[in-house]
Amino acid sequence: MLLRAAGGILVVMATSVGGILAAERIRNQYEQLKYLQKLICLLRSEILYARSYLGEAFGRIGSKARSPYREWMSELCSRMEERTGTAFSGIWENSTGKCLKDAGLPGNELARLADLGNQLGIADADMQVKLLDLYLDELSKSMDELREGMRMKIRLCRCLGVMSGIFVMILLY
Amino acid sequence: MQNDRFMNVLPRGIRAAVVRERIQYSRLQELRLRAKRPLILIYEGKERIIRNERDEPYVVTKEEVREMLEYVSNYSLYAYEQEMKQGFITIEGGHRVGMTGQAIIENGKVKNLKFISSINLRMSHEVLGCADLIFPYITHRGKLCHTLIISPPGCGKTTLLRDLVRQISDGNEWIRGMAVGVVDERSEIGGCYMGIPQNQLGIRTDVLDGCPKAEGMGMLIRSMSPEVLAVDEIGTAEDVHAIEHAMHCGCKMIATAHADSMEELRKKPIFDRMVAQRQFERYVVLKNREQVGQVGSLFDSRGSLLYRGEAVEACC
Repeated sequence: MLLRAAGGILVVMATSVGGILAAERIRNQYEQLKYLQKLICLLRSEILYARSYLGEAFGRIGSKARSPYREWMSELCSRMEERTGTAFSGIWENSTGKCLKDAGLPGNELARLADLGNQLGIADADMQVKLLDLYLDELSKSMDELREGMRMKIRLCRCLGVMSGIFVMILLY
Repeated sequence: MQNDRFMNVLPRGIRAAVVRERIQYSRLQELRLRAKRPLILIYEGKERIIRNERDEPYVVTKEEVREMLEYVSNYSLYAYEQEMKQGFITIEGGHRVGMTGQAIIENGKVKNLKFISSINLRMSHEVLGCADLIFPYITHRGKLCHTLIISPPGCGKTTLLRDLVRQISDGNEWIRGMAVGVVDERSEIGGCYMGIPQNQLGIRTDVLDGCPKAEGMGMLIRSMSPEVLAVDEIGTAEDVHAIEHAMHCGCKMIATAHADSMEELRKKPIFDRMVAQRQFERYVVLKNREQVGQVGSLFDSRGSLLYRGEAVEACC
């Protein structure tokens, strides 16, 4: 009996932890988007005010960024320095996929970020700033959507974690 | 180091082809890429068509021109908008990358270039000591004279100016070391990379990089109080006004201008007035492209010949 009770408690605890982790993942996605928004804003100001070229801007922003964005920007810089014939869009896409795939960004946002590289480096500075503004607008909308459902989803994950544990325990008994 | 700098901007195929040529980079003057045309080098004043592994002329592709443009602009064409308007970008090391294509016009002025099909990489060469010959003529009792260096393009004006700046800044047997302000509009004199001159410009030199000459001279006078101001390729009325202002402020001027001879220079109204008013005290006329930087003649403010050096090498 005691053993069963202990097993049941363990099952409830495990599913509850699973629920908490799922909730944290949702919260982390929002935090990652917020941080990405900050980095893109920094890139925008580097282009607008300092007319920095991309490698210079990535170097400067990356040196102060946190992991894995630091590694992402460092990878971009080094790939650009290598000059192997790959177009910038290719460098951006590869580096983004390689360094940010486990960053916790939502899948659709990661794809949209990878796509941003197609428009960077070309045209004039005004156009670059407008493109980044457009990206930031879309990012902001995604964050709003995520935030709206976030509180409910977090509560749901936690509840489902505990409830599923109880449900399994009932089934076992 | 200098060869590394320009090799970095070459497309991979062209980089390999240039390496195969086994040339001395210090003697390379130009590298010309034209889409669907053979790759050409100007080496020791002579043209050379580069050949591929099959011993056929190396034909440059459109993709190679695009690739080089990406490297030259550090994948950031927007950052070189102003330079593109003038038709060239200066890269690390002070090398000039000229380009042609289709001009985009806005309000009657060139806004940018598109469909770039030709690229000309002009090498910047730092020749230490190339100004030694002219120092006795451009100094008087230990004081520097306002000096204008004149020559057609590609004859070594900037090379000579760079060495003058270095020696004036460090000081030599003719002159004590002086604070020199350089307005390096096209980043060719100092070859600045992230604001730091890559060429030797002396210990007392302040470089204002990428700034329009006329505006930059005023800024330097106000901010750095230079004893000598150096600018490359003056040519507009604004430049001339700024030079007059600098001279009135007590700065010694060292400048360069495009012209074949003194007569040619005087055909340009703005320079004619300067010559007539004897604003420059010395004129150094460089002679032609056969030997870069060869001093043809040297005149004082009245146009009296001080030196004629048909066979004397000033630099290179």
